[in-house]
Amino acid sequence: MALLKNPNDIDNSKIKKLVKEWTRTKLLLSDDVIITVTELKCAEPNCPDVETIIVIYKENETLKFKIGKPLTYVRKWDIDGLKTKKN
Amino acid sequence: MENNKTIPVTILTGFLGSGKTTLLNRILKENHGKKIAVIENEFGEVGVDHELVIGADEEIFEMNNGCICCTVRGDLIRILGQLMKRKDKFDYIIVETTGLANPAPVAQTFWVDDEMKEQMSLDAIITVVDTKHVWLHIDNSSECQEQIAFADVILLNKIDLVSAGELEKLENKIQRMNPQAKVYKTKDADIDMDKILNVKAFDLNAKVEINPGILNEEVPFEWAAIYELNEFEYSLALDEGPDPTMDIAIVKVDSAEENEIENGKKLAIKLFSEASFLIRPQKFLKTNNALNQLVVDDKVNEYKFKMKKNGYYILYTQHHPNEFGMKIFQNENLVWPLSFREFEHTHEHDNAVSSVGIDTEGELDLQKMDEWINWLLQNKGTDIFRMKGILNIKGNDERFVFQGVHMLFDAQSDRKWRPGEKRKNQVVFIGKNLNREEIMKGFQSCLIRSKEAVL
Repeated sequence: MALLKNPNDIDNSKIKKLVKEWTRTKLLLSDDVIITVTELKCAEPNCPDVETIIVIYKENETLKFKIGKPLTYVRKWDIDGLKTKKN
Repeated sequence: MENNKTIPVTILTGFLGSGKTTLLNRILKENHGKKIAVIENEFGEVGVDHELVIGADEEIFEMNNGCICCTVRGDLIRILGQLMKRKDKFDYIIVETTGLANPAPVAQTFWVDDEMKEQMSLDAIITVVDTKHVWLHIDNSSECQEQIAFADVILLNKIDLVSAGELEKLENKIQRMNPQAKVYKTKDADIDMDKILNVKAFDLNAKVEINPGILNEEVPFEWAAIYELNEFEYSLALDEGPDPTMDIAIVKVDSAEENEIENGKKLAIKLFSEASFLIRPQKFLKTNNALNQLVVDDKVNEYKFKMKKNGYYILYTQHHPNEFGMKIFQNENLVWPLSFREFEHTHEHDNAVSSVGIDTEGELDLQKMDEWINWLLQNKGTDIFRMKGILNIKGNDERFVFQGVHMLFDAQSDRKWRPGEKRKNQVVFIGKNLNREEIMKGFQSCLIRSKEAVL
């Protein structure tokens, strides 16, 4: 990920919206629940270069899911597998 | 990070008792016509009387394992999400943090999600400082240091309780920690609203100004000496030392007075931040206001230099010359300096908050800069709290501006360099454990060297 090429110029908004939609449907979340989808570059050994982090802010609980690839490559089947990857 | 439709958010930090709530009440009472939502997780000694005060419970959420760069405020995300649904009812948000809060997770919350960015924009981090009692915390509380380091605006409050001398001492200390922040002195947190609201400190479309704070006390050299030199050839000998290279800048001065070393310091700091000339043994040093990087690759290394004019010159050396057994000869006679000065090395408070400023001309290689910033943030992102910069990228007629909090980063071209404008690179890093020499060298390695520079 080239930092000086502004990461915000890469338009991931469509896939982000899709990922949120898939997550909401898969986990039966109401519209009130806030979901964030973030791409992170992890410096830790054995971690992929870029991970996609999905965080679900329920009223009394926060759930985090990691998908070991950049957001562009996230597909519906990754979200379908979320249940088993719950942290 | 901002466009006209977004709601600005100000983060208000400061220790309990610093005057945060007084400031907040002033903001709310001021007749500015704005409907303000206040998110508060500290109920101070003064209550906030406002219809839209929302209590928060400071839930720090780690997006990644234990890395501060990836923490956000879960409670804020929930509250802001709910506030957005009633967007038409207010037009400014103030987040007041507890006195012991690290501002990073709060600030990072506004980078974390596109939807958040579409609707809100971080305006500035304001830190209120109790000028009398801050001395109890400033050297040993990481929260206090972080709040100062992260700030875009610092209010030195309660100035009526301290002497002018104490205030000056504090102001100097704070400027060294964070040269980029605008500092205002206040009594009862009395300040014009336009100095604290809509500051646009995080907005790269606003006028980006950098204050690299280059004149702070840290210097990239350990020794300087005045020599009287003439037009004949000299040789400079170095033994093996603790480093495979030794940087030396030669600056011409008018006299042998010792204060010339101090006078030439500013130019020397500038030279040490610029691209250096790589000098191998047996080659000639650049003697006219240039930085030489001497390659020390043998047990005994000899370099040459010759002055264009007889006169007085200062040699500023990266390391103490004793570490390399440095000697200067003319016709095999030792040449002694007329006077010299040792500079304190920069590691006096290893874990203290400080800043490193870069202010230099020259074109940057975008790819090298990209790789270096990437490396720096991957390896030092936790220690770099804030950074901001204006860059002169080769092949780009526009200024390139960037800013960030820890590893989160915004960057873009902003405006064309004006005809006749000096195309300078100005960058400031604020954080803890910052290694000035390493950062300077890393930055220098991204500058494009002229062909002449590599001998």
